[in-house]
Amino acid sequence: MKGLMGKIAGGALAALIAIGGGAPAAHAAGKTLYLFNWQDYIGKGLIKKFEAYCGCNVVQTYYDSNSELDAKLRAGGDSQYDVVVPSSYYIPQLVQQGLIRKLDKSKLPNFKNLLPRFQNVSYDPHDTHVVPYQWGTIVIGYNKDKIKNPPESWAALFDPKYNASYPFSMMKGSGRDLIGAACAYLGEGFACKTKAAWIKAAKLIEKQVKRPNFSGFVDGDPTMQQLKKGVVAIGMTWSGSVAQCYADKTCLNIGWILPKEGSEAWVDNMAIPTHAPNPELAYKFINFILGAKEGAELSNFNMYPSPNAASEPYLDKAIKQPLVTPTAAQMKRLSFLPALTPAQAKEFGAIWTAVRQH
Amino acid sequence: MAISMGKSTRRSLLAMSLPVYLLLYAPLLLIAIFSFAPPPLAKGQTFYWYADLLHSPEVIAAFRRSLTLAIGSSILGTALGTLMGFGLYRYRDRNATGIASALPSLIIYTPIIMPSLVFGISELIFFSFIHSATGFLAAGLLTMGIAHVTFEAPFVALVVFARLSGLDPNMFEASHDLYADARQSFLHLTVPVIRPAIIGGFLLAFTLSIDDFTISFFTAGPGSTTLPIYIYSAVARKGVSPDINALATLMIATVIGTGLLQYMFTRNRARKLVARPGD
Repeated sequence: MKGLMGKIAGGALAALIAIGGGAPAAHAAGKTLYLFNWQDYIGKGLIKKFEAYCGCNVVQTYYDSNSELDAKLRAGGDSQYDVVVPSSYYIPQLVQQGLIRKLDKSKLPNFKNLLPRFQNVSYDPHDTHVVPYQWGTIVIGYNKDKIKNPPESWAALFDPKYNASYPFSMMKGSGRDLIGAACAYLGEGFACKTKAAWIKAAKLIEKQVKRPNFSGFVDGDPTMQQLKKGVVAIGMTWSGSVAQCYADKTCLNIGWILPKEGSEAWVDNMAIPTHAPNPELAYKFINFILGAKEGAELSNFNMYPSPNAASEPYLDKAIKQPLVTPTAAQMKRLSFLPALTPAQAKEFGAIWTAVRQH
Repeated sequence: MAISMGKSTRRSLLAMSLPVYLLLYAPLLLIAIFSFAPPPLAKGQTFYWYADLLHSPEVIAAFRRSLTLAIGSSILGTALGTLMGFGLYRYRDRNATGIASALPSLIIYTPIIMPSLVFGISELIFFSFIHSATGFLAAGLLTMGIAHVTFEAPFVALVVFARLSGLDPNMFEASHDLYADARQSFLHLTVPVIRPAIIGGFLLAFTLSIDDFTISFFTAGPGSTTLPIYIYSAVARKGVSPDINALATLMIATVIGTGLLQYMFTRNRARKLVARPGD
């Protein structure tokens, strides 16, 4: 009895350990790069090129938000992933928690390829911890058949005058983007940092929620899908999502607006967690992405502008359109999201939760 | 044991329960129907999306992981659960009252009652603490397996205990009279009798593991994406599309099939093996 049960139990336990133990064994062999990235952010072709270049295997895992990245890193992920891709406004927080390590620039000879604007950035002085990966903007996407001649302003989204009856959505996620948009519309500037400004913005958003044609809080990529399917007629989305759609030729009736009051320029960056199992491979990967041709291949795939000056001659024409790479005049309207101290982050979190609860 | 009821009572109960079943299963039916939608620039219902699944390496990998995890954790969970169920039955104190009588089952059945979100988060905290203290148990398939075994075993224990409770206790007396010691009683009396419960419990554990999302999500590590996690991130990214519908339909079919198997095993043989006075 105990013998039979014990044998079964022992067999199953051995099987389980073999499954689970297989992974750390591959770790130790030093030939696997664990990449933790956003979905659809790097093409399969580029990954294969890197695998051939380094003679290693790449295992990709995905996350949907910076807070998920933060949680997974804090729960032990900082010793399991080699390269992570956080957004600019989150980086001071990660550095403060000791989750990402200082970069050794001598191992990144391609660093000099970056545009001057992306070197010595405000969210990472002297580029000690991260290297820019891709950047982009937030735009308003709208259905040209339903919403005629919207203004080049956040009013297209927030003012019922321009959209009395068609469903619209607002951006979900951390709330930094939406509150920033509301701040910009109210004249406080997209990069508003004070509690008073946030509360004014939150009140505006709550008024929007009460409009009968509000369809919900939706993230950037799903908003694009909903615009395509006609579920919403106007919403906030990423510039690259719209560009990808144009490239597929599946949404020729979708227009985009970069509001004149201001919008966000965000930068996603590559970082190496503190206890990464394979930092050498991580450096190789980062340097590889910073290469001229590889940077261009990355941008051509995900349709976001490249921070890499050397990639410029290899970029597709589609990347050079103003939707993806804003003109100098448009660049003046864009701001980075400011990093928040933990106390400010808590305040912001409380305000955003209150907004979401309506 | 069937409760005797009149024809009209039976009919009215059916009339009340059918709409409820419809409400519960209509969404699943819709998913299945939409999985046959035509791909862009084509017409008519097709199996296109099912074939597409077979060509996606990520889906195949997630499926393999789900299956490995489910089978491994179900075997271990069933073994543990059977022992727990038997222990609950054998060592229950028939004279205890109030809390003392409920305490052993309360402790064992806690993972059933606990919300899986709370369970998943507590497992995450536990494993990350162990990992930072000792360096073992990095998040991955092993931690997922341990978490799955922990929440499956009580379900199996419940099924086995329920089966044992339906036994005539005199049979154990009878086997003692025939000079069987505890080990022989267990091997030759208890196990054959509860075998349908063990198999049923295994199938139940298998279903729970294949379907589980929240606990897997929190205890997952690099490269340990299972099917539910894959579906979740695909839906979060681009909304529901026919290929996700196809995947979901396959999972629903698997779970329904396993459920039917489980029902057959835990029901049929029971009648034959329980000795009733006057047989």
